[in-house]
Amino acid sequence: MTLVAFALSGLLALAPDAPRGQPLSGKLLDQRTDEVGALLRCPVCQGLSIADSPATMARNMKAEVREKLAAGYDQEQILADFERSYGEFVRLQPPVRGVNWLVWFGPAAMLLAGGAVVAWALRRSQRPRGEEVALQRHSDLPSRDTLPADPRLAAAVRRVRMLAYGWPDGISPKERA
Amino acid sequence: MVPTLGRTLILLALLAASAGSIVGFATGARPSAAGWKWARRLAYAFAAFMALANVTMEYALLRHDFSVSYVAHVGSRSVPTWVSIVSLWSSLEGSILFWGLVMGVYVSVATWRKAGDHPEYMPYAVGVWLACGAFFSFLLAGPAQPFATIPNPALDGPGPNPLLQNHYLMVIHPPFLYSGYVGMTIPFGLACAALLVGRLGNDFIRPLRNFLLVSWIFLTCAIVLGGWWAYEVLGWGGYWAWDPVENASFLPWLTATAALHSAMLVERKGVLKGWTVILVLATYLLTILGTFMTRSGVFNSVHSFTQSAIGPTILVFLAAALLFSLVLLALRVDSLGSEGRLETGPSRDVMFLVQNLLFVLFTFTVLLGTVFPLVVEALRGAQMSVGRPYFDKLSVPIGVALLFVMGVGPALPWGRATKQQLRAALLPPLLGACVLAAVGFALGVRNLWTILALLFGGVTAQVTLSEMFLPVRQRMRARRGPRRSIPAGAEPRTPPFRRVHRARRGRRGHRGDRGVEHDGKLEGGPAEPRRDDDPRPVPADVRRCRAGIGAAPSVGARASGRQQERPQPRHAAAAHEPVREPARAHRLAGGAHGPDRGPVPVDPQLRRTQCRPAGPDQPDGLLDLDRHRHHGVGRARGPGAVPARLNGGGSRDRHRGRRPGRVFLMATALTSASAPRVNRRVLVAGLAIALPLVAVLVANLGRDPHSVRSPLIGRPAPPFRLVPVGGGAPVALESLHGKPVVINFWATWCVPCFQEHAALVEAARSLPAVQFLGIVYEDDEAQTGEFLRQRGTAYASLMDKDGKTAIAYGVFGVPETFFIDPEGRIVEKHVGPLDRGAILSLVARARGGGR
Repeated sequence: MTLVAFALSGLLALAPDAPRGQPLSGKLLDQRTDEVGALLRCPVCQGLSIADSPATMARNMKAEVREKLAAGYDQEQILADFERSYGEFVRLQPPVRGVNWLVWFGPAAMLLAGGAVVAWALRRSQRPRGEEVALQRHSDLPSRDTLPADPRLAAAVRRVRMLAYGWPDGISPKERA
Repeated sequence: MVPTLGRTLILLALLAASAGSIVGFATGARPSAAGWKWARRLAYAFAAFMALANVTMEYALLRHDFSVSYVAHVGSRSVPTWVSIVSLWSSLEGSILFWGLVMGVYVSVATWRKAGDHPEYMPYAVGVWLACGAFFSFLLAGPAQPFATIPNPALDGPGPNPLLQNHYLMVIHPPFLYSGYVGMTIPFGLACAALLVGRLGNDFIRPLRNFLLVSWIFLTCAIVLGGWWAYEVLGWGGYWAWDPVENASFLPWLTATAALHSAMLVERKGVLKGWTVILVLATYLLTILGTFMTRSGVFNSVHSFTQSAIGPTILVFLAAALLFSLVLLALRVDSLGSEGRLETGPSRDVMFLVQNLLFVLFTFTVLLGTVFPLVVEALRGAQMSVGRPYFDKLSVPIGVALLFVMGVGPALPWGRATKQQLRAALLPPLLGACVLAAVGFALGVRNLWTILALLFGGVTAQVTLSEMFLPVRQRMRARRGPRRSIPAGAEPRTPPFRRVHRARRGRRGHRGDRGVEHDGKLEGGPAEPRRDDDPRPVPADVRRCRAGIGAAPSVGARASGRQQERPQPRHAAAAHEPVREPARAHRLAGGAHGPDRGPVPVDPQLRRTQCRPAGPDQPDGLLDLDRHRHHGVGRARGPGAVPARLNGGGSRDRHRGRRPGRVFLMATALTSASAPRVNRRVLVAGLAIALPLVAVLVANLGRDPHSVRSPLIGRPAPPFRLVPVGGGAPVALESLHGKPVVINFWATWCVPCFQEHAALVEAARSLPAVQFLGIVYEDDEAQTGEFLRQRGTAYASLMDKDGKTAIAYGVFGVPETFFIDPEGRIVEKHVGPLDRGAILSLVARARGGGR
């Protein structure tokens, strides 16, 4: 008799949907039910998990999760079970497979890219900028030791240079020397 | 009468906005006083028409005028008055009308406040604002018309959504949300104006930042109120469930916060101008994306509206706005230029950059998670969810990192910090925080992220509190004794991180032009330009002043009436020296070297100190003559001062001689700034983000988020063993092997189930070779029995008491019918009520084995 029971249990263990984890009970069971429930979407609600939803369907699903956890099924088995009935839609956390890699590792890639950009910006600001930068911006403007022919315009240009650069004609004494 | 009036007002608003936008852009391209005046008038007209349209709608709501389509939609005689008033923003078209009102208010206030300032920027800004206003007026005139006439008005209406009727938060949350959301249009217009003009002056960053700040405050309050409402009313058990529409309101908040900080760097150092503009543009584009997400009906959300023509229209506007922003950025972002230098090494600058990075990362993560289900559906055709667990997992690390930055950032100086400064600044808060974390650990906290949050939060709290009470300590110290006298030739010694002794605005109004106390002697004011090899150390006041880029002219100088027209070359020199000599620049910019050879940090509150100059503090590029002119007429910006208007007053007389030159030179600057060099990096990066986004949204336009395809089709039907209604032997699915089976999930509380019951019974009678079965879903046995007795039935109905069979079959609701072939495989799942024709065709398919 024990031999038959042993053989039967062995067969059961080989069955495809045998529980893979340890049976749970008590406070740990409650906690795990909440955790697994938080990963399942309530099909009749808008975006709620079955752990949060008061709908009857959600409560039934939560009871089923609890039963399965007590029987020893692990989280992935339970989630796969519901996925078989409802489709990927019911999993609130996208499983890491296929194109879902993008949503899990996209942010990390963005962090690296952003860090590289910040580092580049800091390095660029460290380089002695020099006159070239100022010249780059105003490369299409006449250089500061020239003046337009029209005298009124020349006077205006000189005033502007004084205001903008702070030195007469916009040329500092150091440059003149 | 009322519908016609409403429609007319909206058309007038559309006309005013379109005309005003054209006039605004034209005036920006060719400045003229008349053009600016008309642009302003049209802006006010747009605001007035929108306000009147809203008043008309409120009148119709309060009068229960059901000939207006929107009132017929949400009005009701049986709701309290406040609900009638609040129904204005409770539903689709009304909320767009409310959007128009808020936009009108913002545009008119912004135009009025800036009527006399920044004449080269403002017409462009008004043009952009009114273009956005024109779009929303167009929405109201066309796809989302709230004032359509109902020919035979009913006597009563359904009232707004019951969820929105039972809480006072419905009164405050939407106005705050719209004030925040719509308010982002104003900084967008200002930023576009800066790009169109080709530069971002240091006096222009201030209004940009102020308007952004106002909208940001409203949006923050709105998000908090929304979370509170979700907690109380929707029973989410939490404040935030990462619902797509919630994320829609969150995304612009994230970029706006980053933009506010970046704008601080622009004000302080003149760097990151292009980046700030990019963030401001992104904020507005995210608000448009957010409104698309809310109103298009393609996202699974509690707040979703049904599909309508609004979705595609908003998408077109989003694409147009994206294109406009990208082109403008690619062409003009380089011409904004940069005047200062970011500090590398441990300093507040670096912390600001890290903060920006984290906020942009957060934005990207939330956007990716929200849009990803649409991406997968476009690529694979499968529906999947990205829900709360994903967002929580990713946002906690980012949030903890932000806590870190929030704590360390304010503790660091603007210049490069030495080790001693770092130690003095960070060690005490860190010790306190370690104590806090240890206490948490002792109390049983074991989660790593919680411990880190306690640690960083402790540092942040201590640093923030000490910052808050710093002015108090400063004042107490000031009252305690006179300042130390400083030996000649040495830099005044300031302790690390203790702020340089500030002069408070208004109290010591005349320090600016009297000079600073130095060596116990009064130093004279600026008499001549400072020479390069001047051995005297830069006076503390001037040093502080130079660091505060864009600081407002001193009240004292204006009050004393001096220094009206004299140019201040020294300060202008200071602005340009940094370009060439970094060390000297650092010193001139106020980062003096302390006795220990490290740079002394500059008072971060510098903006509020008085600055002595009347003059072009920080000329941006060539020309800020307007600012110079403003000083010339004693244009005050301090509190209590009356703003002098640019167009009127004495300025015209005094500067008449200069004006033609000014316009000519301005034109030179404009044309030189508009050299068509395309910034390829910005263009490519922008397109890389924008094109996939728009493509995904377009591909999903017809999507119905509520129809989920069953994965069971083609698979063996899940087995069950259920007892019929009223008792009896249990029926198992295996026993029905060999003939086609039709399983109908139904309930007595389901109205379409009544409708299909007769058809199903008749079909069951006429098709004896097919086994029909009913499974009762979430219902009471006695009630079901009674229903069947009254209606009669031709097949057994089974009770699914614990709902397991419904779950196994992936039932979303009732009625749902499954057609199973003789081998036990599900051939088809039909959602909704069936009629005779559908039953026959689907049974034929089941008979044929799924072909």
